[in-house]
Amino acid sequence: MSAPTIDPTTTTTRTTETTVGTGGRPVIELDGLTKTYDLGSVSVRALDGVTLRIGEGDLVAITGPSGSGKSTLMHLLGCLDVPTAGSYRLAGHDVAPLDPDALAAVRNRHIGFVFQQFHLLATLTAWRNVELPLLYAGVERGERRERALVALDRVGLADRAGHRPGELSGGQQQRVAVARALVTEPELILADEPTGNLDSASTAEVLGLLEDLHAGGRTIVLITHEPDVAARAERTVVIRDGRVHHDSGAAAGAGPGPTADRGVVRP
Amino acid sequence: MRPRDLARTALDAVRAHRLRSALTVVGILIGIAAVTLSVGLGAGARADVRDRIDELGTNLLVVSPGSSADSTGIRGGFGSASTLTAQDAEALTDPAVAPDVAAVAATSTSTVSLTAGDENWTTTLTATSPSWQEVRSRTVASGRFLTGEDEAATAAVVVLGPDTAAELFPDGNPVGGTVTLDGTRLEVVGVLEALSSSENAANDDVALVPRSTYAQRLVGGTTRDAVSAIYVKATGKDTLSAAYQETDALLRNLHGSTGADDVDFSIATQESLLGAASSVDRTLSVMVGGIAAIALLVGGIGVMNIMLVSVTERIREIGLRKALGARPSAIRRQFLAEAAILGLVGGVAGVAVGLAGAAAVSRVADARVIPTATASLAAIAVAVGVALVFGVYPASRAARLAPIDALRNE
Repeated sequence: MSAPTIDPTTTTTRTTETTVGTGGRPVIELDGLTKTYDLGSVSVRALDGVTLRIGEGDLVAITGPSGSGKSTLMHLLGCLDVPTAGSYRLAGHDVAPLDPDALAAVRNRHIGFVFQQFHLLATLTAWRNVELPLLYAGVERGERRERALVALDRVGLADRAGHRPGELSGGQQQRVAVARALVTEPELILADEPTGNLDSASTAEVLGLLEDLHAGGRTIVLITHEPDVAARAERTVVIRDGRVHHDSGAAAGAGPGPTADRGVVRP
Repeated sequence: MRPRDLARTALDAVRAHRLRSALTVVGILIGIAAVTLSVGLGAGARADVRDRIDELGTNLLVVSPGSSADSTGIRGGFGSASTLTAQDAEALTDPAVAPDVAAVAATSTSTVSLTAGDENWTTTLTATSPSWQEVRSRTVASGRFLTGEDEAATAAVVVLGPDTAAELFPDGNPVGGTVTLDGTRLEVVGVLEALSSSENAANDDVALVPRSTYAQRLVGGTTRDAVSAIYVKATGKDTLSAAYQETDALLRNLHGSTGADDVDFSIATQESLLGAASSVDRTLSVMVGGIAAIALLVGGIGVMNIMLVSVTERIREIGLRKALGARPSAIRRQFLAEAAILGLVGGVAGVAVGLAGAAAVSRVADARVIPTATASLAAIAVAVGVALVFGVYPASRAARLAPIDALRNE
């Protein structure tokens, strides 16, 4: 699937061919990515030929109204689901032909997830939650603990390593989740509505943390429907009806520049 | 995922739901306790049978007077004139006629009262030949057994069973002492060794005298040559049936029996004598075994039920683990490990309860229960196996869950 089947927004599809923003080597390369759900008699096209490129070190917000397909896009980006058509290259490797075991390995090594619901295991202490990805990578326990503590230190929770999620505030829980996403040193951090369940103080805390990581050179994709959260990103991609409706990163090519777009996007 | 991490993860999950895990374990526990108990009962019953066979002597045939209508080999009538004679026993010792017979001992018995000093004891007086010792596989604890000279001299001697000796001579060594039977003084020349684990006390409470002494000096009025039983020992386990044929043919010939109807003796083997006794134990064993099988099945279904609930309840955890890089096989192994832990705990606890029950049963019900380490380990293995078998389906369901469906679950 080299050629996109549909090209509704000529500007966006064309601009993806140029490297954008601060990005260097592309981490994500989507080409005509399509996802169709077959619901018996009807088939729903949740994603309709998305072509997108995100470079190393970018902080990109993907936004759009409910039902726009951004969740589907997030699942595909996270290798939690497989596309119906199109190609997805993560860190230069095509993930489309991979089987469930290989996809599990890709998620384990290359992607760090931050979820709206935190998804921490209530029975485990903070550091045991953070070590989970290393557990499935087959890392030895002593090293797991060491690396988990380093990651917790990075999110400012070194002193909470022995606390269970129930003993932490929402913001602290989400920071534990960020530490868990960091612990494998992945190419990509995928944050799905990371502030959706947080009050404004905790939101600022978590977004500040993500910006710090970005400043440290991490590639971060932030999926959100909150405009002020999206505004913190240097590049915003708006998804609507399963297509890229607008991409502020198209600045280098044709289309509206990133500055003009910032803060204007409404879900 | 490393095996140790797998075990730790599974253990965490089991610990996180203590009550539920404990209830599941109880299901397995009951089954395994019943298994342990039934295996112990079975082993006890078998040991009983073996002991009784050993008490009779090995490779033994017992010829009794009278017809052999009863298939169990137990004589119907008692007290009627004996049809077996000492000559019958004598004839069986001929190696030309009965080459597979190793030894023969004819016995006559009657219940008598013996006195020694102030002590008085009623026991079974058995008249027999020196070969009795070999036929019945008995040893002498002190003194000597009856000899051919005793027989020839109609000697006033007696060999006592250990229980009899203890009753008549509570203070010391009976050998050299004297017992009195209806005014006749008998010298005690030996005492038999007690049977190792006697269930049947009658075998240790006897008084043995030479046949000649019995017939001529002690018990008047009996036909001189009549005997109440002939014990025939085959040369080996393999020749037992040949010895049976030879004995049967010879006695038919001597008694002039032609058809099946006019046979005036019966031959019993150890198996036929002990069959009735052991079948009772076997019934008990089968019954408890059946309960064990049902309990294990119920326990296994309990494991499956709990695991299915666990999978449903932990959909989000499964989704998260998958998102973080757990392969389907890692998820399956985790749930199987949880089932195995439940089985292991249930198995170990079940064996402990089973052993305690075995101790209680042998005290209360007078049934012998022999628990063995092998059976206990096997029972634990069965518990783990049952838990694994019933854990496969829930574990596979967990492994098959799509990560996004699992994560989406609220």
